[in-house]
Amino acid sequence: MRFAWLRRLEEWLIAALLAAMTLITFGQVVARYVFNYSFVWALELVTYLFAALIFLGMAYGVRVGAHIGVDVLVKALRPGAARVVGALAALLCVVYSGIGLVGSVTYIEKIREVGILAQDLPIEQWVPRTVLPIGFAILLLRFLQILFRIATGRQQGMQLSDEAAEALKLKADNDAAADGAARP
Amino acid sequence: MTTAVLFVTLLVLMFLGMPIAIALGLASLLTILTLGHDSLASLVLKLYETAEHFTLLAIPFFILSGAFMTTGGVAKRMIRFANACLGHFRGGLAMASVLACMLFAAVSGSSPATVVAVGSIVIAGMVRAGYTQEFAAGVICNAGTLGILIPPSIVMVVYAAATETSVGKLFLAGILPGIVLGLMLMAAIYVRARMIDLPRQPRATFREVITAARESLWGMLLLVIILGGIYGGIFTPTEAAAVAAVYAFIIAVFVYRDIGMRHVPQVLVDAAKVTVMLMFIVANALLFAHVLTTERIPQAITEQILSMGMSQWQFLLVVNILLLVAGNFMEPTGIILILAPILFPIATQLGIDPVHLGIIMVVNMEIGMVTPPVGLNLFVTAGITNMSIVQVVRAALPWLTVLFVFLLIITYVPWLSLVVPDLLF
Repeated sequence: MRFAWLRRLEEWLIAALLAAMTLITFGQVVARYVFNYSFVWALELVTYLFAALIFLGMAYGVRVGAHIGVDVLVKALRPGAARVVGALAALLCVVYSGIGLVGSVTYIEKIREVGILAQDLPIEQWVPRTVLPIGFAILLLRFLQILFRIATGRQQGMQLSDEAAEALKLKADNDAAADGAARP
Repeated sequence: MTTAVLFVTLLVLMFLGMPIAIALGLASLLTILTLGHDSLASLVLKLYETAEHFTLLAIPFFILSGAFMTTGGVAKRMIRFANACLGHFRGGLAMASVLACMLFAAVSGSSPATVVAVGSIVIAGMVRAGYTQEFAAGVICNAGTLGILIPPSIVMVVYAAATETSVGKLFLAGILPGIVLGLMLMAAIYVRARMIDLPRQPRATFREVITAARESLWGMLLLVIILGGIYGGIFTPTEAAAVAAVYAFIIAVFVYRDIGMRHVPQVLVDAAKVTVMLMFIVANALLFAHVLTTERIPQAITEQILSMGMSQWQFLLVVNILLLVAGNFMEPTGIILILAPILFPIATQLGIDPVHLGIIMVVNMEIGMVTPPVGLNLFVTAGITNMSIVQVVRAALPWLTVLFVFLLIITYVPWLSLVVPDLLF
């Protein structure tokens, strides 16, 4: 598949962000008790990583169908009607991402003009916050892609997965992992 | 007027089948951009502030620690211990699976995760021992809801963030109700077992019980670390969650060795995916709640309710009905973030303890998870048993009555929720 490396990159990025957040917060506790020392910048850095995880990850969630939704009504419709509703839903998601993109670009421009510094880290606040426009831009692309697919008949609806399927998949993954570990 | 527009837009968007998070966000954006005065940039800032909320930061860590703990091994050992303790009673395997759910709830903050971890092992085991699949599935589907009542609990973290209640107090408050619900389910099983003559297992020797206890000890220590650390003032709830995640990683990889280092990236990806899904809902639900507050909707509702002269018990009855209805259609995190800011001020005025209100909300969310159409536990149970949703709903129904009786007790006996935190804080 084209762009396969890009997909892997998205996956690795959110996993690395989560791991970094956990280790820094854990390190903070260890540093405080073992070395009697605390990093003033740790919390702020974790906040930035958390923001990056949420806003860079939201488009990834769309791609892998992680976002939950209510599909009882859509499922009850005839295929033709379901496709129209699916297209409408996708269009509204495009609207949401568009508003988000415009809003975050305006916001970043504003704080860049003012030039507020971060509290503890030696950078300006707009830098870490650029995850907002980047995230909304990718989200917009993803929803345009879905809309295009529904319009050309390659996809029926939004194809959300429910959390139930996710939990089961997690379990299956872990079983596979456990099986793998059991073998030498 | 604005309130009506906001909620109607939300419902329409949700039923179009778009992600709940975007339905919440778009309803808020459209409402405030057409009827309100906030600038677009300030609304985006509201979304961003989710990441700066220190309490909410605990959520990804609890999800990660749960993901490491779900790796089969921990649940398996807890089930072995539970069976050794209770297997010799009539209906003992079913009672033991409730105990296993209670134990696993103490390492997991989510209900569907508890159903999957425990259910995928014990349901097959009960069927092999001569129970019907309906019986086994019905018990697990309901007992799994303990995942959000027994600490750690992601739903409690969200409630704490929405109302600025102490996470530590809420966690402590969940313990006694969690044990009571577990015992009530076991009692119901025992009564039923006498009626339909369910099988019993040979009694485990004392040595077997001790061995099983020692093996599952590492998992159970997690809750001790979390609660001990928070209560002892060693770390904040958020730091406790990060410590729990690292601890769970060490247990899974180095102590139980159920997974190897090379499987760790996959666990991280899965946990990050769940985090993103949940936090995207949280961010948009916070935006929704922001619209409610700028429109002074909670204040308006509070004044109206108080002017109606509603007494405490009447208000709590209304709260329960409202939450049960909402729980059928919406995901717990969203409900709490939208409704807690509305219900909290009224409850305070009527002299209801915030911690008590929190436990009431959590128990309602538990019931929402076993009632259609959006009951996550039902879907998960159907998934692990290959039963249809309709079959699972029918199987879960008799045990659901236990949950309803429990809800009544929790609502009107605040002592049950408050005695432990009051004793310790």
